[in-house]
Amino acid sequence: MKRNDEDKLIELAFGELTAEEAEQLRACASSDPKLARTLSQYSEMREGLACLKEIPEMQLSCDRLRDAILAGGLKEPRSIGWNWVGVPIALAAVAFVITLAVKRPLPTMPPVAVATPVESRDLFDPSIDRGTGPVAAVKPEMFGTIDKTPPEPVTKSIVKPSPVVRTAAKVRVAEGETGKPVQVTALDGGARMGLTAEGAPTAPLSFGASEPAATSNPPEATLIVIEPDKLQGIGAQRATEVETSSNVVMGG
Amino acid sequence: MSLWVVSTALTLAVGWSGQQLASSEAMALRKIEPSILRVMSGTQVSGVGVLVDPAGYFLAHRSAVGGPVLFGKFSSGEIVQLSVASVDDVTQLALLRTEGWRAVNRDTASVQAPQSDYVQKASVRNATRVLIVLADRTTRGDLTSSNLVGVMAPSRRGLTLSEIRFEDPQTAVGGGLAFTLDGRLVGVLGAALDSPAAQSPSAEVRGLPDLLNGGVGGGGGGLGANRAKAAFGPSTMTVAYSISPDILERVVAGFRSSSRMPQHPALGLMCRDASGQGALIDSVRDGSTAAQAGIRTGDVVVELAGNPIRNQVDYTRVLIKLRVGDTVRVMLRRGQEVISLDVKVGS
Repeated sequence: MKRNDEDKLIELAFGELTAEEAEQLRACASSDPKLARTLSQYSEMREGLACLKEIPEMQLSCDRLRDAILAGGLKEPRSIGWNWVGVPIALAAVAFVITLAVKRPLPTMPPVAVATPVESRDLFDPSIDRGTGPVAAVKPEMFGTIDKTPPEPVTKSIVKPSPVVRTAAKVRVAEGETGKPVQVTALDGGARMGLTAEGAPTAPLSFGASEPAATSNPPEATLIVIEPDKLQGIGAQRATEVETSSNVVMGG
Repeated sequence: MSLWVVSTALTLAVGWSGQQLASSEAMALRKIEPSILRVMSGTQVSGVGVLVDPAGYFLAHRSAVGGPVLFGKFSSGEIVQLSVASVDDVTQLALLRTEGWRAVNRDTASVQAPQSDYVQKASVRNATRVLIVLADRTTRGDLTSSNLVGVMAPSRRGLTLSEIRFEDPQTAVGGGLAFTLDGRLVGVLGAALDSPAAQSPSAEVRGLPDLLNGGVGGGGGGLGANRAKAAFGPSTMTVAYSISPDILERVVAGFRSSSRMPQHPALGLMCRDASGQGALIDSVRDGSTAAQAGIRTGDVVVELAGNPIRNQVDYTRVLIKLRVGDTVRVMLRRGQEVISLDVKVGS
């Protein structure tokens, strides 16, 4: 097929020939199967191109794909799940963290500043100009006599208590004069604990009944006792760790 | 993705279950293997023994010699007949003798006990890697301490012990031999810690696909559940004890001697912790060197051979280092007075 003929067929398929030229070419194509086939292909191509005007949503296209992603959002993160690879790794990590946490000495909490009711005093002080903002319509007289002198800020050091059964300690902060220590008293029958304004405890901090101080064992107090009976499945004699050697008779 | 995970798991499982040794460990094993035989009682492997004398004497734990007829099988397949030459009741170690066999006919070497201070420096933080030769396999472990004090029941004899830790699920470990990577014997496992945490089976591993539990494609040929758990879950941690290298060296020397019996230093005293400082003497064995020297029940040992004694543990530590036949000074507190006696170290 000549190039010129092919161009003519294209023009015919896309309706760019005059009626007379189109009729002549159709007559030629009807007698030539090759021309007819080519014309048919170009006609189908034209129809296909016409359909592209209405591109379906699912048709892949860079722009449409981008729009679809932005419109639909990111894919939901896959849940980790309990897969058999992650479980032992997770367990090992948890055990490692726990071991570190257990070995670490318990930190002593830093001194904590106890809030003082200074702010409440300010609310009732008529000398303070609060502008035109809303204020509480209260009067100091409604609350009785209030010592308007701000007490010394009390800081107390919280120390680790002895490991005994503890009940919730109820404490009462007694009002004190300026410059004098504030007495803190335990109300639940626990030992009195006195604190100075500097925060240093003057008495041991304890709650409820205190246990006697643990005796310190010598460094080599842990013994291994080996019994004559054997452990099942292990084939070895039974060994037991004894924490304190006080009552163990041994020698040679 | 799932296929890759499964194939990796299978690879790990096969390697794990075999406890493939590192190259250094494999080299160490090759070096010591000719000196090791499996002790068999009938058709059962009851323990392992290690050559300590080229004349054909092997050291094993007493638990390996339970049967009436004993054989030893080398890794090469050679079988020798064994008999019990002697048993040390203090350490529960036994000396086995071969019949008609001598190491000079083979390329074997006696295993030397390590120097005393070699393992003394080991600590939990600086654990020494050891090879543990068990009856049916070889595994690796860590010698975490060689300075523990133990009491052997029922004799109440005090000894220093080594602690060896290793992962070994559900396998007999009694009588296992521990070697350093340079081929020196450091312990014979005789006891294990009786603790649920130490001896419990390996934990369940969740999420194991059915493929690993039930087999490939639903049929056979896959990993067993126990094997899969052993491969991927936390394995059983065994904490085993052996006599310390100091005592082991003494035992080996004793087994090599003409008497074929080790001698352990003893004064004939049983002590407990005193209320103050010292070791309170609970009993004195009749006819012992301590009894002959005039030591009485109720005395408190405050010093032994120039070493201060705080409790019966100190007494044991010092006693172990003494030599049979030496004479040592013992400081005692008797009532309000302190007396000093010279006592000969017996056995």
